[in-house]
Amino acid sequence: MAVRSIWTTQCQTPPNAGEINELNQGFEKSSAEEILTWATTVFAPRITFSTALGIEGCVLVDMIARGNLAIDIFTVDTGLFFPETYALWEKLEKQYKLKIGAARSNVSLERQAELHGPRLYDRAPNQCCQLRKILPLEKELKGFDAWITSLRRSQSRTRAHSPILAYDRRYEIYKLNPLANWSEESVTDYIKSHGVPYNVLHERNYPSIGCQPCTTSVAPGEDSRAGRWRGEAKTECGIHFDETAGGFTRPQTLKGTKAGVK
Amino acid sequence: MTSKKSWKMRLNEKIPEDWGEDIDVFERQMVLRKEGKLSEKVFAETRLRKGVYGQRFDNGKRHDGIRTQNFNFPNQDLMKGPNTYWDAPGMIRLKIPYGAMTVEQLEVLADLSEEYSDGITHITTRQDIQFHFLHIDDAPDLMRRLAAVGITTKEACGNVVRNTTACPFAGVCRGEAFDVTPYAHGLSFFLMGHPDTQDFGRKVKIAFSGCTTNPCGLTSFHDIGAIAKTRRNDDGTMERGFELYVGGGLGSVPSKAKLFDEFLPEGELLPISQAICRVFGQLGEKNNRTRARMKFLVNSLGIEEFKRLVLVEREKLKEDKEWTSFLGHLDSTQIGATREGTELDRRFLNPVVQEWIDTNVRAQRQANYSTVNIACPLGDLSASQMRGLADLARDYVGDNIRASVEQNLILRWVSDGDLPDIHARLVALKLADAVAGTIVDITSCPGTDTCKLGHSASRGLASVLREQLAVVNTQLDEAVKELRIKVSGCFNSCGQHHVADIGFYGVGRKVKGYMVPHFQVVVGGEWKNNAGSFGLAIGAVPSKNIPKTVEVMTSHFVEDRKPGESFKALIGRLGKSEVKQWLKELQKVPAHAEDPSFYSDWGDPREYTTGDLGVGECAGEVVSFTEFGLSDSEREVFDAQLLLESGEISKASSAALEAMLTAARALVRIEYPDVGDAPVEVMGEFRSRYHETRKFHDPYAGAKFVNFLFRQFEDEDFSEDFETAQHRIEEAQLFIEAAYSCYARLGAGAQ
Amino acid sequence: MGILDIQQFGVKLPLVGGSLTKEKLREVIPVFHQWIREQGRDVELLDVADYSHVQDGPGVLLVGHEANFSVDGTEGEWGVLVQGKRDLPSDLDRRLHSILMNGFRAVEDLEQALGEVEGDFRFSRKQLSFRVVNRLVTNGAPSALAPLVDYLNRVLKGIFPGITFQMTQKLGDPRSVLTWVVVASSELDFRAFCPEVEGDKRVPLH
Repeated sequence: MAVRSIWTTQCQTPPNAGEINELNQGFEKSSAEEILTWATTVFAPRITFSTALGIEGCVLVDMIARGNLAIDIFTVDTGLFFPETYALWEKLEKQYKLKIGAARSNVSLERQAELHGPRLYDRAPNQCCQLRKILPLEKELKGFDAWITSLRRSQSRTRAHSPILAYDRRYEIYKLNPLANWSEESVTDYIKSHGVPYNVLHERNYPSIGCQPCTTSVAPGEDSRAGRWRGEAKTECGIHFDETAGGFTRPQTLKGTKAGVK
Repeated sequence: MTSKKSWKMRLNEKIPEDWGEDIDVFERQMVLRKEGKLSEKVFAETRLRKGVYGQRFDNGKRHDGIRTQNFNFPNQDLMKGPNTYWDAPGMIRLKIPYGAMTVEQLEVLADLSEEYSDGITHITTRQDIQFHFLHIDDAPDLMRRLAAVGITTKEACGNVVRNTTACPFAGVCRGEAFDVTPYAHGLSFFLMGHPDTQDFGRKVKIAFSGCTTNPCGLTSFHDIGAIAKTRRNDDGTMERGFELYVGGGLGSVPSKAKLFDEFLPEGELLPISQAICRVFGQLGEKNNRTRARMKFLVNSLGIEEFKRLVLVEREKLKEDKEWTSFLGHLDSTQIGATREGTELDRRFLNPVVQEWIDTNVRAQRQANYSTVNIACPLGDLSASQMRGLADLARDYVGDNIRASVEQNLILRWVSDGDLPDIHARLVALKLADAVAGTIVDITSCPGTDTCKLGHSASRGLASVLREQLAVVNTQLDEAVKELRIKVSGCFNSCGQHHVADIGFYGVGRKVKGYMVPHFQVVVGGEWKNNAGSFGLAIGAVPSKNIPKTVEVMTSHFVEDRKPGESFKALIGRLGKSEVKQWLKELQKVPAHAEDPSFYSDWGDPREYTTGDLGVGECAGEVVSFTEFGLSDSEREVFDAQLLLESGEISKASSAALEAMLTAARALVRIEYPDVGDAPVEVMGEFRSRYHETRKFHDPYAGAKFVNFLFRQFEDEDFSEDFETAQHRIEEAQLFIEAAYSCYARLGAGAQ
Repeated sequence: MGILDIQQFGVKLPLVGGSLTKEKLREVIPVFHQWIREQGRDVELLDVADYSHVQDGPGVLLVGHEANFSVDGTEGEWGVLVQGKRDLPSDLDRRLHSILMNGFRAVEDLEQALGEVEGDFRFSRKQLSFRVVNRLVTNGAPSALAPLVDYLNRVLKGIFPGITFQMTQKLGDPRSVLTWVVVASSELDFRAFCPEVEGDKRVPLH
């Protein structure tokens, strides 16, 4: 809604369904930096970027730091990352002088083993992802209105139709994928030309890196996420649904309400 | 239908026990006062702490335009305070934390306004509600009926923690870090009646804001100002906290709040506030009211020392469960939408509705919901309007109602699809003016209408300006529309004139033997950026020329501004000298015979002063050089502002003192025409002739203004500090104003 | 608290000729200030409150100790309102008498002060409304209060002998104040019935 008031001069208003489609048409031609800047003006300070510290995530961390954008950053720390991933986390924080927060399950791995038996990830990876990734993420996103991710359409078939901007009904949040239309090459080019640190595992045939027990390397020609949950009919941890712009409907229940719509 | 029950019996079960007990105690104190067992002074403070305030003419005297009348109240010997008659109408201020009200409360307020007041519910500049013309005998029942719906008047006035204000858009605003409402609520009720808040030399005001950029919270001029902030901790968790400010205040000499902590964790908000109150209670000035606000303590100790003392005090505090218990139910202040959010169908939108939406409606953070700002002229609502608003709220938003510091009511969680219907309902209530937040939406304190301290009719002026601007509003330049006008009846700034684009405060001036109501024109203030800067007065204009002044200033703004330039920036670029030129013609007062309308105030046909003042021949001559001297001092204080603007800070400071000396000398010359101009001589003569004799003392403020002169005179260190220099100029302006009043009093006394 | 103790009776005489624009309404302000100067009524007159900026509101008020006088526009119905508050005569008859007399007299004086030519500004002489602003006793819900209405009828008949009065409760918003509409069988000539008012400005009361 176009509202002219002295208070709103610095605050733009959140887009509705029609506006999302319109914005997406423009975003397809915009740079990721432009999209991030737009999102900051509309959503800051209630905007966050969640990254699993993959290579695309590093690109966005670089952009956020360079633009000095008021975007919060966090990772969902399952406690099962590769040591290389933890090293990268520290390196990014140091190099860019910023804080990458951690959303963690309030159930420790030991407690999880007591409750559900040891090595839950081997027996029921979905349940493990639910406990260690999705619930902490859901909790963390509650404080925000917009969520930036580093999804790319060419990463996998499940992501092939991801729009740049959508309203995620599940988390009740605006979701932005500024790199949606980037190719793998453009990511690599950016990393090289900007001197962005990345996970050394990428050089060892791990294009997509998750938790240590559930990630293997991939063979040439395989889907980049083929190394995730190998042996399971699972390529998404459950965080990202197949969201398309056409699937947008207005939020039915809203944050900030006790009971939502009565 | 008839009932012999009292309100006390009828509402017994609905009133919280401790609130009921408080009211009973007050009622007993009223009896004790009537029996002469409680002193006037003690009763006055008790009464103030219950929100029961004095009102103009409560000393039983009123000037009717020709002579001073003494009222014949039935209880001629009964007083409710020093020099305050029991039967004189008074004001009662309620405490509405962060302006939040329910449907039921609106209905009760409507009833009470009809039964005990004048049919008007008045919204104040601090999100509070006031009733005027209340008889104190009605106060206990009024309090009970309020308590039964969850409103207290406890500590609404007096030297206590006053109403806590907060951004009315908290929880639905785009730019906020988080909803400050539960924190404002928690702190407000924690400090209310707390033993550590009972021994202040002066009031403490607290404000909350959700962001640093917008002015809804006005944290920069509060004793304690808290701005919501989040941060990531080392363990990666997200933490809520506040950027905390202390020692801000408007009043006669405004002071910007100082940064106390960049990030005060949420759990520390209550204990640190408690520690601040303790330090203020222990070290704050108690005897001299005029130096007793927290800003003086912070300025004299310095923020670092103040902070150190607070932290020491914090360490000593005994752990209190209440500090953090409210954090466990932060959603208790949330009121959800009552209707499903639907999109507004713009295809058939009437242009009148569109205009209103563009101005008064603001999209919420939550899609398909908006807030509706209901512009209430001068913050006044009739009982039938209040009931109509209660019905409207019940049908569309439930208890999502808040008062704003701009004296408006705001409905939250309005479904966009309902906007046209709500507009239609507001049209029926005559409350649909598309002016909220524009130049037409003028803020004003009560002024001479009801306030004991008012010099000029701020409400009369605001009313006239509102009407005149409303007529031209739609043709106004967009930039002009967004300017803010704020009016105070005196220098005390309840109308917040310092932070308006164009501010006015009332002063009286004597012109050729007659008193003429004037307003000082204040420019250079800023409403944005949490009221980012305070303006200074550039000259007094007769009340009746203020509408023209607004016209002249806004025309200049349209013609002279560069694209995107704010009013404050324009003033800064052109310089105050040039701006003052705009006022030159308007400052002239036509002779009484030529236009007597200048000699009465807006909405008040009484001649502004003893109209039968004759000026003797001898006195006539004295008058002329005193008037010259006073006007010289005004020019000098203006020069001081110019020096300050051009960065010559210490020169500005000394010019402020010079100006006061000139004014003092002008007064001395009435008695001792041959006084020299050496500062020491002027000071000596002024001290013995005007200070020791109390001739200069203000009837209300006492030695306040004369102390400005003495302090500045003794403090020869003309600091390079900008804020100190600005304070000195403010003080000089007030001293000169006091000199004018003193001169007027002398004139009246001589007759 | 019973009806015999009620102080908060009000009488409103509606405007029937002329119109109360904002400008016209503001002409009432100096009239009220003049009344304060004269203190010529059996009410201690204290101050004037201007609410002309509130549409359909209490208009312009003359605040007194025992009662308020106003040119009132509540709900868009303009008229002269005299509203009792406290310390009125303890006898109910006299109290009603006082309120009515003050109402009639205020109408006479305001018509004279506001009209530019005789009769261009007129308040009703045939119809009036009678209010009780005390919710401890009653609100605007359908109510009998029959004894009170009898009292009122008797007092009116005492002032205007030979005239009959028809009384109907106004049923609107039950939250608003109790209001009875009183219609007289013919025009009430206040001056004819109360000639003494002309001479001594005080309304005889006790």
